[in-house]
Amino acid sequence: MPWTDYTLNDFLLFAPETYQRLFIRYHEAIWPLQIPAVIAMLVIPWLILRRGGVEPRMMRIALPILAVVWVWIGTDFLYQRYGEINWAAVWPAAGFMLQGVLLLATAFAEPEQPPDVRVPPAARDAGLLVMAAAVILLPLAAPLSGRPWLSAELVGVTPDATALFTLGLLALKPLRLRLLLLPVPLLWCLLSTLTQIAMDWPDAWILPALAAAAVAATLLPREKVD
Amino acid sequence: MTEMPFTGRPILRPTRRDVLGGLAAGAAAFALQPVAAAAAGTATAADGPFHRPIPSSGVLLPAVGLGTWITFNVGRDPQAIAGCTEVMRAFFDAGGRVIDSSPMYGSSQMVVGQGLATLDARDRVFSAEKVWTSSGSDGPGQIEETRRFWGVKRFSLMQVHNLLAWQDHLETLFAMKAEGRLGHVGITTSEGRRHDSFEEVMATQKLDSVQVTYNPLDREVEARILPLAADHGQAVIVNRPFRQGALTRRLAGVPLPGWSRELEVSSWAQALLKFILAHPAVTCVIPATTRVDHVRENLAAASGPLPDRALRERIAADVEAAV
Repeated sequence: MPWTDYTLNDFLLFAPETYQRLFIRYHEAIWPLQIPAVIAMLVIPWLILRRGGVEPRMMRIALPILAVVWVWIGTDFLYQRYGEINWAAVWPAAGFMLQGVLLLATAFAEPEQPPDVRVPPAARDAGLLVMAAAVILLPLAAPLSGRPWLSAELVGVTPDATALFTLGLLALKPLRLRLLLLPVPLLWCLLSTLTQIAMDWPDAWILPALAAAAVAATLLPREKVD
Repeated sequence: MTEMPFTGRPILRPTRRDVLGGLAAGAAAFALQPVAAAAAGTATAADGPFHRPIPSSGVLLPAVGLGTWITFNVGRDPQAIAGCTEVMRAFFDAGGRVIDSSPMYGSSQMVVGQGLATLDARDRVFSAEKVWTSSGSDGPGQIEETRRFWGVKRFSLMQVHNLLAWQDHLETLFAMKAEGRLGHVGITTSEGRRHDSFEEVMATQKLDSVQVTYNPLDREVEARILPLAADHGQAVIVNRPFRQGALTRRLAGVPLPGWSRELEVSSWAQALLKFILAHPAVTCVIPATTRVDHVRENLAAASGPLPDRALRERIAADVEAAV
């Protein structure tokens, strides 16, 4: 059967309520791990920006933290839990694990102090704004759209907020290897957006809009240091 | 046969004579007497849904079954599984028997199996399942895995889902049926996909049933597939009667027209189901729901009068105008 015969809704295997219950049950099951997970995520921008500008060598601490989170979400949330209601979840789960490996590899493949490039201020600001939105705005999207609090996205814990946070962070990275880290979070944002559109979520535009801003910032040419 | 005329009576109310006549005439009446078929071939239980026969076997099915697409895919959520079990309990209590699922439907098969075990209903259910894999050699393994989910000895009906690898799977299914390991063999499609190929398989294979999408807005099957099913003595199971709930949601605030009193329906959902069931080629419709009150309402549509041809057109026009 040709794939063109299918519509977006044909790929939605579950009811919106079931998707919400997935998040609610997840949050209940892992409580209180949300607290250290969010704190760990908040540490990342602080580490990188504590001296006023982007401090690239701190990526060696930030990226491994993020790597652990990606692998955790891939295995526990996507494979174990989302896989219960979506037989195709094994693919994004594998993608999240791959992203974890890439984050770890990138952390140590790049020089601690990039010699001759720096992040342009526009990219830095956009990246920070996207990271802030991932931490603050995405958790609020659920209750503001009429969904239960407990079904909210949370950075370091659930996939959308973490993917968006990662995209924001990539905008702060000076070297070309950052481009290697773009595809997985970007693909996840696309997949999640399509799922939300199929579920008629009114806030389905937030994730792609912020992801696009982060990608644009990440793609901005880095500045040569004189 | 290109057209299936309806009775001249404004409302079709199955009578005892209809019932007995329909049962005696069986599949022949279904094909040769389309005028009577909407009522004949229809048996009325004392206080439950009316039944219709699978033409090839004479097995009587309550005319409203239970679909599981999306609604039963709730994972291992105990609260949601308990809700699905209550839907199944209400379904069986109201006289329902046909439950339809597929390996494509995520955890639905597991949830159905748990419900059947809880309700001790494995002997009551008419188990309609599907094989859905692109590899013919993987078919038997998938069917066995599905059987373990349901906990039944054998399936009442196994269908090739969306014609995927249908040649290989039909070979498997016909062999299983010949060995007594399967009750009936069918094929499915939905939302108008691959109707040309579907017709070809219907015309060339000895199928017991076909499953298609049909409702007042999706009527393509009326032209060829439903008459073809009647000609070949194939039962017709109708999926997506509410367009996955989109139709009933759109009609939610629309007052029921005057004909609702004639049809003894109290909701648009019942009107949609009666529209479908009034087609003489239709054996069973399988709406999906997560609500106990809706499952009772759906079953109730398989009782009382059905619309004649003119009224069906009015229903379709009213639905089209309202959405």
